[in-house]
Amino acid sequence: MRGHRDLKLVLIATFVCAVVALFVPWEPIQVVAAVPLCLFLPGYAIVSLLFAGRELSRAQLLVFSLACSFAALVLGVLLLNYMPGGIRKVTWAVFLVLLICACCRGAALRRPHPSRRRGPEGPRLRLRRRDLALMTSGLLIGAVAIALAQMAVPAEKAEGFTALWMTPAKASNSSLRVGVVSSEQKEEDFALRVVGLSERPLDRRFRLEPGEERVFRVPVKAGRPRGRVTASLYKAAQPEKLYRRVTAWVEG
Amino acid sequence: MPPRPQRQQKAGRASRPAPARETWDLGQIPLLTLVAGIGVLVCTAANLLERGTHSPPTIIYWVGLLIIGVPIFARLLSEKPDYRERIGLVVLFGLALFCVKVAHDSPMFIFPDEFAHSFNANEIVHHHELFRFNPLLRVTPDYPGLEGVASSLMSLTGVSVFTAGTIVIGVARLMMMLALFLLFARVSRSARIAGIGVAAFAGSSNFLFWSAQFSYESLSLPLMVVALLAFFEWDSAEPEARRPWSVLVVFLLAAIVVTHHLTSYATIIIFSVLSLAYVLLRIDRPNPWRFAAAAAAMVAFWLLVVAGATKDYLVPVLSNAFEGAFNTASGESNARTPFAGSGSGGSDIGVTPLLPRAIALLAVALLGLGMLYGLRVVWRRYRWQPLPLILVLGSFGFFAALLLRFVPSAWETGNRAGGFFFIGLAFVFGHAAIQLLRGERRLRLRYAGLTAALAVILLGGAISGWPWDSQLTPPLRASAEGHEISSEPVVLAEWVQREFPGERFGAPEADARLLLSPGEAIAYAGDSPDVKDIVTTPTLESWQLPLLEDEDIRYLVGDRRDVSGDNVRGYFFRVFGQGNESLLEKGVVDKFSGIPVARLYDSGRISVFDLENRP
Repeated sequence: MRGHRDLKLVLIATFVCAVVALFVPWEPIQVVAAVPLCLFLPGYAIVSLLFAGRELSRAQLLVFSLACSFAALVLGVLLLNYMPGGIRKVTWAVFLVLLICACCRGAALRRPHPSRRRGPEGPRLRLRRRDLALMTSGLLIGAVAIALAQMAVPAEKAEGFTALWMTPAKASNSSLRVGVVSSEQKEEDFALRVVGLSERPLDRRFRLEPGEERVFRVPVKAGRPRGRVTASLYKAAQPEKLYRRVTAWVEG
Repeated sequence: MPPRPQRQQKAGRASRPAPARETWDLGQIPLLTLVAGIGVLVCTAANLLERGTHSPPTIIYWVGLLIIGVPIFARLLSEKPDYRERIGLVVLFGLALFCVKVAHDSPMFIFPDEFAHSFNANEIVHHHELFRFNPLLRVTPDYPGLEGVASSLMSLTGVSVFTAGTIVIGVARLMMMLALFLLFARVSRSARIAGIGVAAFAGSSNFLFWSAQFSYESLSLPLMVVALLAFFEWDSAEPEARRPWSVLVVFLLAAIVVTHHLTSYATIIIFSVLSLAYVLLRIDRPNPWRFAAAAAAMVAFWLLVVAGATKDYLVPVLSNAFEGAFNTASGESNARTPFAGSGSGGSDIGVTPLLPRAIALLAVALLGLGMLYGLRVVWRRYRWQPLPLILVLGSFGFFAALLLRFVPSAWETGNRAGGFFFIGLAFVFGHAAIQLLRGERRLRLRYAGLTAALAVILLGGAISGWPWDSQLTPPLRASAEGHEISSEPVVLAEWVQREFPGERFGAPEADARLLLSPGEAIAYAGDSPDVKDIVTTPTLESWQLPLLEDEDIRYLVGDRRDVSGDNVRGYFFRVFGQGNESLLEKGVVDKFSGIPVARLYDSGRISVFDLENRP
């Protein structure tokens, strides 16, 4: 790569991005590394290989680099699908690093004369402080808007509800799990009654905050004949009125 | 400020980067970035008010769109910006409108097709292989391009499909704006026409939401535009310099074929018509038939080897569209009334109010006038050039596709096709605008009029692109006493994701989509198999249980919400007074209790039954 500064930079960026994406355990930093590794560097390497003998404008270089990166990923995923290991973190990283290295090497060999230039020549950008401040403000406002959009806001007219569920425990069949999820607008008191597992019903009283879930593990006696189990949920404010009911047939 | 007449000579010329090392500044980009940021914030505020159930007037949202668009339109119409500034402006415009879409559906994908593609991407990441079954849109796993790209980010970083998909579509949007600008600029040799053309393209009804969703066309359409740009460079290059361009075109065509069926067919058609035009116009440059042949060969290979199901997916849609168009034209069936919508589940959503209807119709009228006015210029300038002629054909195609909106079974086909044709219409409109600004009389008025026309076109596209009552998003999640609560179908999907991932469910349309993603279940809905009737009929018919057994569907979702069959409106909280309160008959749920089978989940209106758990 001697003399091809842009290709050298691409290779360094590729290795740094791959190492960061693979080994840094912090997602935002991984994303910052993975985005250029996936969506720009492969395309830049491919375009450099294809157009080793001629220069493209910066806009052309950008648009073809993006498009070739997408195309490389689209066709690359087909290749990985039939490779041992399949489509995984490591195989993606290896594929991308190999692709970029091979294309950069090919581009370096195909370029007629080593060039010490950074890339296509063009006028230098003159960035004034005012411009920088305006752009930063605009980007910050946009970022705040997107961040706000991710937030949940109070929705007073939205009707809350509570869900009751029942499933066999995952680890073994020796117990049932009964859960109550509150999506109510305010804190509520509930009464849960599970019948059918023993002579006496299982009663629980509890309070749930909005968004809270409570799960009860209900043991099932070994050798119990198959029978119906019913869990009923009542709101404490209306103990006589059935609010939710789930039912299943269970055997020990 | 309009330019003075003596400076008119410069208007419309692309000032390409000079070879000498000089300096350039960003022009009005910084200021307009700030303004666009404010516009995005206003659109977000409108969405937040809607999520807060305050029923804000949609006009707040339109004001946000106008804050983004109008200053950029005014600047693009002006002759002052140089080539680079125009590129910056169209990119800024495209990305700002993409942020509006992200703000619309945060914090999760809510457009109907996004659930199917999210499911496919999750399947690739979890199972490390392609072509896994998708019960809702069975053809989508056979076109894994978009999901493959998203899976690279998901696998390398562990981010969710929402984050990865948003980044991928955002970068695809950036590529689209750049590629369209470069294509228009190279063909017209005018950065000004290119900028205005790209601005007009945002008036396509698919631009704001449909082409920005996490769906295969959102990637394939930008790739197609880049392929056309590469083709133009191939066509313009010296013979010895053509080879890399032809390799690039074929490389991009291969990616399109793997990404989206309709775009790959559109590409074959475009290159075939181009080949024909080369023959008819006796162009003495190499005929591009080889690109048409390459695309056709790759499509045939893909259909034969991988995506054979595409025929079963597309043929009924297209034949229904043709048949419907014929029946409507011959008077055998009634025409569809645009703007008088019903939800996809049949729920009545009323007529679009007069003002948005008027704006949408005015936008179409302005586009029609722009086309008529621009055609003269385009014909004079390009009548011996094949690619511009194809773009002109596209502008005619857009209005032909508009007619399909009056056909009940074809309006969606027309809407999809319109997105492709609009590229040509935008090109012609750019010429019309520049032609209009050539005169010297009332120039200031012409600038103002054209800026206003572009604003109307932008709003018209936004209005006709998505149902008027869903332009803003109702609450999907909400804050209550400092905690976060979710809507009924979302809570169901999260429960299924935790308790029954990978299990087979039958459910109404909206629930099934959420069960796919984030629920990660195999969820069936719709007519094939006929789950739709099973979940909507109040009595248990004799065929229903055997069908579920045949399809190995163990869990069934009974949902009394009328909107559960509506794949646009069925995901949200029930809000008093907003028309999503009506219920189906009790029997749609109770009929399963009577079998009897286990009811594992009950959230009031939604229940989940385990058909294999019986006495």
